[in-house]
Amino acid sequence: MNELILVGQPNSGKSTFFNALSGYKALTGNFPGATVSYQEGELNLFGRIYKIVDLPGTYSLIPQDRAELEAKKFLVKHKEARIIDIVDSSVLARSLELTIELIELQRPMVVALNMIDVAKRKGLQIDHQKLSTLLDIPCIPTSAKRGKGAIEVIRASNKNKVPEKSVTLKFQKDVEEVIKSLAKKVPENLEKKLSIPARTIAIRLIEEDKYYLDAIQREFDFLLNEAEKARKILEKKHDKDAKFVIAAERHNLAMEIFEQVTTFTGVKQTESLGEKIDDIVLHPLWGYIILIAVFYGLFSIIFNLGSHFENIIVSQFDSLSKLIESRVSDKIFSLILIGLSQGVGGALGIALPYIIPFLIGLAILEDTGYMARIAFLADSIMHKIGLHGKAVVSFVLGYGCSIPAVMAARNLENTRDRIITAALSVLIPCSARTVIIFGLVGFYIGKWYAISLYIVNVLVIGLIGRILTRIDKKVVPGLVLEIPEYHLPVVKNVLIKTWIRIKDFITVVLPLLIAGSIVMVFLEHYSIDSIINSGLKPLTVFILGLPEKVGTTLIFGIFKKELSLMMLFQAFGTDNLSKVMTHSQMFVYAVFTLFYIPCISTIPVLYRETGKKVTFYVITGTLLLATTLSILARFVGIILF
Amino acid sequence: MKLIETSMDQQVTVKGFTGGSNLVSKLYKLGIKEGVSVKIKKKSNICPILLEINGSTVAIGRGMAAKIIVEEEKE
Repeated sequence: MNELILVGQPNSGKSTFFNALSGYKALTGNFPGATVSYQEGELNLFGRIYKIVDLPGTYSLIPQDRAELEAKKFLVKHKEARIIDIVDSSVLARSLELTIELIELQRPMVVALNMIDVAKRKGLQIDHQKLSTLLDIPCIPTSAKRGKGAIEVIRASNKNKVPEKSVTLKFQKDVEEVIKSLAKKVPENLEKKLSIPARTIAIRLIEEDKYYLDAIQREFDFLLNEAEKARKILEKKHDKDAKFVIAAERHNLAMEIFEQVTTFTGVKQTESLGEKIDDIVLHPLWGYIILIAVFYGLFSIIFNLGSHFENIIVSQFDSLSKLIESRVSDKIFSLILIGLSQGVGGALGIALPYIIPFLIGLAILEDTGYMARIAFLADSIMHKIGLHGKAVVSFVLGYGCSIPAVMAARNLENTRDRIITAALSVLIPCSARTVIIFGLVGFYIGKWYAISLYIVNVLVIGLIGRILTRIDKKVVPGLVLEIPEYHLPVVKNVLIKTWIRIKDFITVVLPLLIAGSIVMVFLEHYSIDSIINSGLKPLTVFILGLPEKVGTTLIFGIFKKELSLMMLFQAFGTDNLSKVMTHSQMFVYAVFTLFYIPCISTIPVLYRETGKKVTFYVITGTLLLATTLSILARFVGIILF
Repeated sequence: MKLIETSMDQQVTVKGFTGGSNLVSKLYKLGIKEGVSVKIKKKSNICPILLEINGSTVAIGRGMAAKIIVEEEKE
């Protein structure tokens, strides 16, 4: 089978290119032992089958974090694969630097000059044939969004052209000499082992590329000293870090090629439409007002759509449960079936109606380029917590559902930020907890009490964030983020993206939801609730001052957050809670459910993204936090009510 | 001067960095290197700084902007 690996910088339209080729059958894969994922798909073109792998976008092949290291390992180890370098033609000069790094690998390769239409609009004409000659590989203009050129790229890959004569394979004389003398010392068996040319290994060792440093450990330790010597020579001559000397070489080569293959035609110096939009969208006042409006609009659509479908779907499953109860005589079997139907019904009826529109909204925010702008606007606020702009994406998602919020933390560069962001995002009241806040506090006590809970929540998250970032004190690396141009979202692309994410959700969450529901049904049937209630008495009655009966509802709440409110009505056997609970008790109850343990669907995702230890800390930490805040709420309640 | 001290619509050349090599690598990847000409597209008192560099737009956090040394270009 022919394997194609797509490599490109972020925002180069790489995933659009991938989606155009592999469609809905794409799968998400994880690099072994890492939370970094890639997409994998298959294409059948004129009887030939191609396996297509879409690596995460990267600006350079020098890995700076774990994700980039894993992606790099994958690329280097798949020797037989052909590389498709997706280039954003509108920023050709910068994109060529990655191309040059890829050429150094000396593997069969094709360059896709993507977004060629955007480049044209900017007045940039690219002579792709000349570029082809210079780089010694096929360079094909494409516009993946319009579905142009992708097939030609695949065809060109069949030539299996290795860029042996690329002009980029030679740096400035003095730098090249240092590299060459180091390359001579690279043993042949190392070259074979990595199947990378000696010159490239030499360059990478000078650049202190972690992948190669790891690869030569023990067996080829003498090379470390040689590389150190080479570095010293370059540093002495150029008066800067050796790796930046090499980076400057690539930069110069890229600029040279860029100038040779491009011509500017009728450059429009007037402000483009995108810039005009940014004048408002990124404005220090209007920008934030628009941001709030966008979220308000997005969430009201999600809730309206969601509740509409929830009612329809849940009622169907309810009648199915009743049907099972009346038809199936074997008690145990009937209970399992009911649990099964409730679990599937819960996923289809309660989770998916909210998650699907939410994911569609999210894909649109990403594809239009607005998500990057949200990070821009939120950067200064996030710095107060000790994180930076990109973390806001998780927090925003958290208001919909904790699961995508935890998953989105992946986008952050370093582990500390990733873990803290994931941990904090589970504290954000998701749509299920919103049901509790409004259904209990909003309905029985007053709307403003409900809203104040949201404000308190944000303050608590801010405070916890500050504490956590202080504990693991690292310099906040700060925001460096490319702000992509605005794009009209493409329906197909948005749908594929949503579909891939839903598949992810279903495989992780559905089995647990079903198992949980079956357990719940049995608990109810054998009235184990009274045992649980008395077991939880020290917490519920003595510490929180709540009625004993709330015990089980809190356990149910771990399965599905909104269940705790629904079960509250059932536990007391009333449809008016104000008869059985005081305002103060409701307030305490709401505070507790707002902060305690993430739901059973979130926990496995948290586990997968952050590991065992962090998940354990989050579970115990949130329990402790919820208890502490509820005690405070109890005192506040005495004063207020 | 530092990038954070520039004003909107100024055209400046990057001169150097006062941060560590981690920071420099991050900036290099997006094309922010010594000798490169950048235009300040947006600057306010709260948001990050928005730069135009070789046709792409890049946002730089304020903390980072304090570690980038630039020089104004004379036309």
